[in-house]
Amino acid sequence: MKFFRLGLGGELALERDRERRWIAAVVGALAFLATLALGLALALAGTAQRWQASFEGTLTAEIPAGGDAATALRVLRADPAVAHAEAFARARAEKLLAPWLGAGNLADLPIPVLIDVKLREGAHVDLPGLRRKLAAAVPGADLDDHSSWLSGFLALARAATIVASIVVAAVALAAASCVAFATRAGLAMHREAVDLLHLVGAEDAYIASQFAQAAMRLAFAGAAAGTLGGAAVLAVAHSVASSAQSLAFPLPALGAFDWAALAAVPVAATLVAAVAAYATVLRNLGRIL
Amino acid sequence: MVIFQQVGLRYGLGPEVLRDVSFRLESGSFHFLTGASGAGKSSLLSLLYLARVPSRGTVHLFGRDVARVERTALPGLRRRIGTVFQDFRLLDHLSVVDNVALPLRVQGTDEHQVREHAAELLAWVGLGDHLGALPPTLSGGQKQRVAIARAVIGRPQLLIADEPTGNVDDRIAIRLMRLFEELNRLGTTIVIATHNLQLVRESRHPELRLDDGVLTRHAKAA
Repeated sequence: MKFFRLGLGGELALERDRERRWIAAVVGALAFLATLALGLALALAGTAQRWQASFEGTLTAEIPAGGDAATALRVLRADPAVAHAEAFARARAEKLLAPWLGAGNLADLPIPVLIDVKLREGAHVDLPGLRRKLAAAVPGADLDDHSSWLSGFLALARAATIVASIVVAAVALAAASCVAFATRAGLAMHREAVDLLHLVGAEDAYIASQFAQAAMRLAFAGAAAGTLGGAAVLAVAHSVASSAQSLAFPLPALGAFDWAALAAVPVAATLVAAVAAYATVLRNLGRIL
Repeated sequence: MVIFQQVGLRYGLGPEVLRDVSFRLESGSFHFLTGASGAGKSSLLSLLYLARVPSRGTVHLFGRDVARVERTALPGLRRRIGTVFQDFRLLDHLSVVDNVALPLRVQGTDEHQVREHAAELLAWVGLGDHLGALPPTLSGGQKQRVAIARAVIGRPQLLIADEPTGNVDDRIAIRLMRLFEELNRLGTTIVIATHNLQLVRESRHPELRLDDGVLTRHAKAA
């Protein structure tokens, strides 16, 4: 018999409160901001990680223009830690430099020779020692393990992650405050029904769970829309940047794991709303008999 | 079951609405509470159904001093009390049967039992064909009976009724009194606040009379 079944909001019928629907809009806007902050941080962190992985176990030797690349190759290949050393062909170097200097202007340019060095897996390379040997064999030659260049980018990714964490924490706090405010208003509005539930023997938790469920539904609806909006903006931004790309480095992009992490935003927002509503009701009911 | 000792009650900084109220209700007893409007009947009842604690003195219910009961134990005590409020306090958005089922639902009783008991009780108070009706569609007397069904569904040890016959005609009033007598015979302690002095006179049960916050007890001659 359907009249036995209570509405989703239980006896208090909180889902009928039009005044509380702004929770969905506010939580939606906050979820949108959290998604953007998280998305950017994840993209930067992921890109930094990929770059770090791709540079791991590699070195680049730079031989000044006119230097003896063959000698340099011999020195490098003689090191037990080196698995493979190969000089960049001039044509490849010209292709890499073309976006910056313009094609056809490179013929007379003294371009240094770059040697791509791959290390044996697990091998320990004595970088200062190898650098000294190389410089002794080919004056002006240098060996780079990319750490100084990569450290700047890793620092940027770490900073972005910290900023995103602060933004997400602030957003969660704002969402919790908004839900707590709405819950207090709801408690005042339903005071008579809440009193009645108490008088027929309801525990505080029983009443609090009705407010928590109502807040969860509104927060999830708002946060799902906000997260979808944020994800759409990230996807469009990446697509626009990719189509206009003339950069010499890869554009930060979100991987499958990152998209899954963004999908957790509505879930987290729902949990924050539930906990905020539940705690607010318990705290306020504790002040009345 | 109920012991009031030198109980005083005031709202905020106002004057005392109950002064030095002392009485004792034995288990299975039946009492009327009378007094003029403003004499303090509703205030005394609110102490009985644990909506308030006294400003001074002690109230013992079921052997416990209510001022010292932990908050977590209050629901357990309240479930042993059934209350028929003067203004019914039905939830307008819930059907009649859902209103009656409320005390069992908050206890987490099995839904099958809840349905069975609620339907049985509504049939008992003559509203078996109004299970799905909403309170605003009911007459005053029908609402009164829904409120009574809700008050007794949890099989309370103490039943408190505030003017239960105030909104009904004489025929319904007699029928309601029979319901209370029947519950009393089953062992429920009953306290009925009423203005209806004829009802009190015609009854064999003792009267607790409140005059300006002061309580006196009037037993009936055998």
